[in-house]
Amino acid sequence: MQKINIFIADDNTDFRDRVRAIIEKEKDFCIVGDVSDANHIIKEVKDSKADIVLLDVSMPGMNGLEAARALTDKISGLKIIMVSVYDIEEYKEAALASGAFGYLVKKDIVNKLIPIIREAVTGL
Amino acid sequence: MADIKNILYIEDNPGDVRLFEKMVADCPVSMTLHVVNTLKAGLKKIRQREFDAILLDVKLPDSEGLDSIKMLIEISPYTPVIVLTAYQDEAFGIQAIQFGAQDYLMKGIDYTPMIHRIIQNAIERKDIEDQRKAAEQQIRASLIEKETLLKEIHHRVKNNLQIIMSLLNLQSASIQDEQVLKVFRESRQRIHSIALVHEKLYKSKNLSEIDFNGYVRSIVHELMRTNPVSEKVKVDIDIHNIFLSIDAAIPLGLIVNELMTNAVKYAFPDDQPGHVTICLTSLSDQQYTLRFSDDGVGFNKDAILNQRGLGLQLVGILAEQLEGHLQVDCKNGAYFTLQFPKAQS
Repeated sequence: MQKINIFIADDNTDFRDRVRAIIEKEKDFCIVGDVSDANHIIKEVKDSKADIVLLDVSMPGMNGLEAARALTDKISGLKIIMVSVYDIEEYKEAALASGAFGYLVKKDIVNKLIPIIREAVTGL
Repeated sequence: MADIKNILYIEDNPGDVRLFEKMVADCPVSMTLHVVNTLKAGLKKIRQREFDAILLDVKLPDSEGLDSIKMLIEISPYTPVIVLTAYQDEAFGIQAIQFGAQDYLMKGIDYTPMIHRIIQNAIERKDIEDQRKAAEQQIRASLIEKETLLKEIHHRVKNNLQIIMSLLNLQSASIQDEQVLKVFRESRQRIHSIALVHEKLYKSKNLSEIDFNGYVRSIVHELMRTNPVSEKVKVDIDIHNIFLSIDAAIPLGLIVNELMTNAVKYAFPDDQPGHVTICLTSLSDQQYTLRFSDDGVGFNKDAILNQRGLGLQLVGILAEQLEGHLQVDCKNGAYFTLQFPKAQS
């Protein structure tokens, strides 16, 4: 079975752990790496051979929108799902405009994380 | 030497007392019998010393029946009471037990076979009760000791944070650059908000939670005192009877600190009048909602997205710490709504 490689970029350890717990229940998903700052994110994502990146809107090192733009520019086929504590429509629009596939409000991860990853995967 | 038990016998009939003494003569429990002939005298004795058991005749010159039992139990709730009822009045004996007596004996019949067991049971119960009381006292003492230590720790943390604030003050004294001074002032204010939690905690009766209303009022008061805010800016705080643990109070207090700092600094330029509202409500068993709004000039949402300004970045980080959900509107003033779950015990 072809596994879907997922990379988590978020400075909040608790959030990374919660995401990990949700993703690890899916047999065809595999977490290939995580970072807590965006300083070397392009190299780390590239080396991990990730298909999907969960990217926090606000992280030390580089803001999430810049990181999304840089990642989609440098790594072709990569799907980015931006995550944020802010439930603001304009941010969602800004995230999509930066090349992200989707925008997920953190409080919704329990119900929406897996569906949005699957949705992103169908387009790979 | 065997422990001598003290039994109070409230009985107005000397014949019954003699009979009782005869019946308990070979009881394996060593006892001293303290005999009084009225309930009043019995209550006086109980106030003077502790007894291991009380024997009560239900027909006394100054009291009768269940009233006597109620008064004895009220005065000495942990001393077992054995009621002596009239012959063939077993129903009363059962009623007496329902009212808190430990057992009953019927006069007029030879109760020697059961008297030893009943007295022994009563004394054993009293011993267990005494052990329980001693353990409770020990736990209470240990709790008081822990509370004192916890208060001391909160006091010290607050003092240490105050030292950090003083260090920042001293260091900033030689700084001329207004921008750098601003950074120092903001840092000091943030530390002050955290120190306040510890101060409120050690001054509170409940060491685990603080009254969030009082806390927010202190934060706002300090910000209004240390920033040049127009008198035309009014602040409404609408928080009633919400007590938060330190884990929620610190991040939420810092969020209020950041939003209020932004409001007093940027929302009302040129002595503009305005209104700030801070409201925290508990909408369900699971969730709190903090609403912060001002009717000032508003701000650009991109400031958050592009990570301009530590304050708004902090709001996001702290909201996440509370596992919260933030909504922002800034077209006509600033409106922040933060919903976050109550801590599950």
